[in-house]
Amino acid sequence: MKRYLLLEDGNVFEGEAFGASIDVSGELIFTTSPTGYLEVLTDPSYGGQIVLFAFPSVITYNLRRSIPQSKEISASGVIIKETAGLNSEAFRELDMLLHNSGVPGIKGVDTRKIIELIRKKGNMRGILSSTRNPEIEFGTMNTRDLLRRFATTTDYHLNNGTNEEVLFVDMGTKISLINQVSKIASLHVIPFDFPLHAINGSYAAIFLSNGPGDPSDESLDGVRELIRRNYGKIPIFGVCLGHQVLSMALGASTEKMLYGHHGTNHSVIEEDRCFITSHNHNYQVLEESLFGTPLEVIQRDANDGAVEMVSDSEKFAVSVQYHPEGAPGPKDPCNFFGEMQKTIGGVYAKNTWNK
Amino acid sequence: MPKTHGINRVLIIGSGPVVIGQSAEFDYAGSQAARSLREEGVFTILLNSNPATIQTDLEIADRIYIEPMTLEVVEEIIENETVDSLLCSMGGQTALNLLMEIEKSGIINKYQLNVLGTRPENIRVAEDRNEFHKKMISIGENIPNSAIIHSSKWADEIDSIRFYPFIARTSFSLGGKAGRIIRSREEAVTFFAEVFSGNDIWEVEIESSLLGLKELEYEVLRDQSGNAICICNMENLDPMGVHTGESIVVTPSLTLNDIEYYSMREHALKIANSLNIIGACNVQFALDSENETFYVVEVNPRTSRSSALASKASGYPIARIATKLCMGYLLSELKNPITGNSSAAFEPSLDYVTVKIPKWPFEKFPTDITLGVAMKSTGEVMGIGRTFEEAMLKAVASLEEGQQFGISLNTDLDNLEEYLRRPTHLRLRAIFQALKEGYDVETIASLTGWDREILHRLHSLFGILNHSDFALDKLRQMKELGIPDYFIASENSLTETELFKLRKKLDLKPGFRVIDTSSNEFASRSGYFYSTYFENYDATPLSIGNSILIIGSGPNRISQGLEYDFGSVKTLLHLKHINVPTIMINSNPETVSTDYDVSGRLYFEPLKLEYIANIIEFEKPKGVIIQFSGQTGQNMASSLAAIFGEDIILGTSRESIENIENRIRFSSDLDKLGLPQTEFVYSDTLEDLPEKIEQLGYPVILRTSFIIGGSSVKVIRNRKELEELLPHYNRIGIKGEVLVNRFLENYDEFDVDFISNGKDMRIAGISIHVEEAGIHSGDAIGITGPCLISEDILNNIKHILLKLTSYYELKGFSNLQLAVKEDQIRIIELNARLSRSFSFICKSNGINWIKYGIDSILFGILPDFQWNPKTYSAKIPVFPFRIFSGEDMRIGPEMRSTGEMMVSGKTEKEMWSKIAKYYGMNLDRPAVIYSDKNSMERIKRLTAEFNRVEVFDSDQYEEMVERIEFLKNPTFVDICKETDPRVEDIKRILLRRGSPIILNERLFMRLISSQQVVMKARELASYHN
Repeated sequence: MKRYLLLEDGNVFEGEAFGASIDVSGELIFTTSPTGYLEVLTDPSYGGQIVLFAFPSVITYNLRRSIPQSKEISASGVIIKETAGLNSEAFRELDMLLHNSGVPGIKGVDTRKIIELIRKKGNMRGILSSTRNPEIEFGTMNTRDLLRRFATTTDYHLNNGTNEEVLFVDMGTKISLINQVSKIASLHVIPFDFPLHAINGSYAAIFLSNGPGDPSDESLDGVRELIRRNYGKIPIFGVCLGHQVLSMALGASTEKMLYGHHGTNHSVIEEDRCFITSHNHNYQVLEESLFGTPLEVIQRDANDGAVEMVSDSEKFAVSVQYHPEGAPGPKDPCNFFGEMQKTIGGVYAKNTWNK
Repeated sequence: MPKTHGINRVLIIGSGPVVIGQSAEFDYAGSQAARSLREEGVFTILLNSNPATIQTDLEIADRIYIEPMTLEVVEEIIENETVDSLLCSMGGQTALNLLMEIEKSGIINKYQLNVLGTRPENIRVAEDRNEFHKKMISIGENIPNSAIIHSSKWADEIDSIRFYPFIARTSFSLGGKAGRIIRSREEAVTFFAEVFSGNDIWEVEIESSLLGLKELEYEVLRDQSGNAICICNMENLDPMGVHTGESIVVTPSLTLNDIEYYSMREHALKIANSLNIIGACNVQFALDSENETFYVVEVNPRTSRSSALASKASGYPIARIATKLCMGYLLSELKNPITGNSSAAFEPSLDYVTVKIPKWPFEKFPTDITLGVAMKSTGEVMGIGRTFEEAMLKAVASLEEGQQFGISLNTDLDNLEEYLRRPTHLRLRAIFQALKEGYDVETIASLTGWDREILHRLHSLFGILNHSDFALDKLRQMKELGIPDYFIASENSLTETELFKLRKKLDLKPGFRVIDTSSNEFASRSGYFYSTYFENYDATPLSIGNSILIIGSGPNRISQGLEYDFGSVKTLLHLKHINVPTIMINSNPETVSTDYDVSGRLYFEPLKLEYIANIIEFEKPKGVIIQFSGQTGQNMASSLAAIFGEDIILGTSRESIENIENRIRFSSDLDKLGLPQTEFVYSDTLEDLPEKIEQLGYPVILRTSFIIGGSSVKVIRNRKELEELLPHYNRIGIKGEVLVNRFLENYDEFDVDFISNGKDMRIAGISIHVEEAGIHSGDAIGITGPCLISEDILNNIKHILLKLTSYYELKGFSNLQLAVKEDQIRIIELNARLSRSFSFICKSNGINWIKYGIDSILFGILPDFQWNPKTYSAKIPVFPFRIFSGEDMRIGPEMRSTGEMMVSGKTEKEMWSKIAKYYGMNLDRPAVIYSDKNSMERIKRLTAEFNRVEVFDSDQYEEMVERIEFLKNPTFVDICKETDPRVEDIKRILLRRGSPIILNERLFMRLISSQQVVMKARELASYHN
């Protein structure tokens, strides 16, 4: 069966359909990760996005050998290059899963060409459809809906046996991230829109998760207020969206990038050290907007200088734009979680973010 | 951190002659290193004994030493050149071993040298299996079980071995040379009994073989601050038990999940860190997916064959960046040269798949085709495609063997299960045969140990290949999958040329995509391309009507190796210099010519008509140079001319090539020209052959046309030998068309290289074989120098060359082989292309003949000088008999050497002294001669004045063995006419001990009579003035 990918700029690509037989629209992004197709497709940060895999033969092992990052397929659609070898069990399993999840896919399109279009024109929205003239619109992203869809709806406690409890703000966290943090401390997990007055425990720290959408969306104002109220009192950590929201709460601003970073091979630089990290972000904290805030840039992307880590040595605010939990990609190359553990244990020291 | 202080004059050590396990990849690494150093203003001095290399060219390094690679020579160079730093990580195991010797000798302290890159003490840890295991345990890595077996008590120790199968090996193994898999106690007893019988090995490391686990490699770069990145990983399709150099390898890995992929990556970096690697290293793992564990197998603390593969597969110039890291730079300070604007601290992301397949010389060494932990392949090919299927089919096509080893649906192996179970070069064919016979993937997986995912893909591919109505209306689908024209053509009874024309009519043509290290995430200025069907173009043609397209020489094989790449690369450099746009096509990832910025544009493609014609169709170049691709290009001339017209072939025309290659036509042409040749007859069929030979009289040389490396050239001395040969001809598919030449006894053989412009010619060089005519020129020792040829003979040769030049309108490079006896000259063979000896000729007289040859092709101009040597040089072949130990070691008309070294002397005596030293025939080394009974007295008389030379004949076998055991490793000279299996055994043991072996009486006589004089290591240029 044929399926079409329509881009906002008018380009149309014809390919073969797989997954669910419905039409969807979404923001078109590409990832260069050669592994972890299910980790990517279940990562809530890809919510509302049509994900293109740059590596043509990405589906080469069975689903059960993956670590899902949420309970469902988060992405709105899937684009892959290869068609021929896809007779395998691995592909049939994914096909079925997408079908049952209501997520369409397209294969056999010139993915490299599409990447070039995105690189040159910046982020675009796209439609996956069974016809060249779909009835649906390109649409827009609704951050609140995405957050609601992926974040927990009620608060709960995760006890790991330690006395310290961290307030974990779930904005659509990856399972691997919350698992990592819960190894360090017990967690009180709250949704992003949890009423502030209902938070009254004594916490060792606040942790802000990753998640989908635009960090400047007003639905995250409550989280920013939570940060400001606690800033200077307990350490605050953030990853990805959490990093952006933390920076904004303390006075910085963010912008949408031309086409973002999505892959497992990006290097971040800190003085004379460099670390390969796993990236998935379409927004970035503006370095110039950090001037006058308590935060300073610790790490930057080696290629475009994007702010990848900020910290405030005085008052315990530390966040990273990339994903130290990997899944997919390298795990914690800068010892983010180790340092976090030390801080929570009260042995915080400045500039000890290196191994 | 900028360059470390005090690195101003660097000695780069190369890898020496091409041997199995060490080939062009180190020419590539060393050339990149020299370039990387020179970019930083460093004065580079390069030592490599191999004249075929590109790195031993004055365009690459500032000073070149083509001298024996010994400790004495290194010290001489350090002193002469006031060297301050050594770079030994670019010359394979040879350079690393030499570094360990240098370190032990105290030279490093004596001259206060910097050792660039990983420190010797860390190299030792990586290389010594015992220390390595200790280190790995200390950082918590899983390693296989191991133990040491000692010669004194092996019989007892054998009982304590609990882990069969195991690998037995010695440290510092080159290409896993001494490694072997032992599966049972029985095998172990036999093995140790043999190994320890030589009295030269005292202990053997044994290690649980992890047989059947998935084998992975990670290519790591690390700087002195400890920053490390992993350029790519490589998945071996053959499981553990087959050397990575012998495996089919896919990059990036296809069947690893995210956790496996990144855990091994993380451990690779941790291991590199624990060994304090600076520069490149390669870490090998054995993965047990079922039990979610992996083991560390090995670390190569240097650039390796895998580094070259990883460089070409990913586009990331590993050796060049590694050299910068060795100089003290940090990863984050360097740019990725392929994009020009992104950081070198970046792990390439691929949007294509590459497949590497080794090239094995089993047509020459057929005794044991089993693949194992020791390398047997001479080279490799890489296929690049958007999908695994396309990449693999391209790799198979690149082997240039058509249906013989490639994908075939008509394989008919007896004992199929055995071929599935036992790794050989026929495994891929066996898998296809099994699929055809209805085996399920599960069964094939358990027999071969290949991953099910890969086999499922092969199964789908097979389904399409085997479609009952295999017809041209499916052409589009087949091309999309990457099925090559040669396969489709043969299934549809078409020629490749016809199919090409048909595709053109149907507009079924490929697009060309760029390799940019970033999957198009960043814009790149890379000129590194591959083709894939039905996709967009990443570029427009380079320069229609102006560009020159050069066809490379494909995988390194015996008789076709990096000496041809030397021609391609020197041409690319010359044309760049005169602003002619160049396009390079090659399929061999080890080469310098596939370095993406040596040419104006690089297409990494199989050297098959389809792929080359697609590129010509797209690029519309001015013409194609096929003279650097050995027989490959010669064989393609007529098809290219048929598609694109006669003018597409630059240099000697298609018609002349055909007339020269066809020995019958060539012989009658010589008659017509009145040029002397050996008497010959021609036999259409094998049935007539015996009778035809009788007309001529034995001994004879039998040849068939269009065969690479003369692999069907045989000397036949009598009827009995002929009767033994005929079944072999039947087996390899020779049905007739045999040219029978009279074998010339006791002639000298001359190898004449010349360039010409269709009318006139210039001799570039003449090498004279030390051995009598009849030995393949690649296997003979060739010497060149002043006054070796009489004036009369030289004039006679010139006369012949001029006649041939004008008759065939030879343009560009040619090579003529002559048999000479006193004043008699006879023509043996003419090749209208670059010869194997050409790089030796260029190095020996210091003239860039490639440049002049190209000028004669493109502009018709010749230089106003010709061969006029001022110095003496010899080319000494190196044989792989240590690896193919079951083979007859006698040399003959069929080439079997893998590489060569060169020695030079200001005088003929100095050159001979160097040759004699190489063969151990200097004064302080004893020699044992095994001779015929009837030659005995003569030999004794000739060697009487040498008190360390002893002569034995077949009756004195026992005494000879006793004597050899006493002397440990004397030079051994076998000049007996009859083959004796016992003597073959002796040679085998002596080879293992590193004893020089001489197999030719003429050579021996020359050596014994050469006078020893003082030898000096000199920079190459100083020999030429």
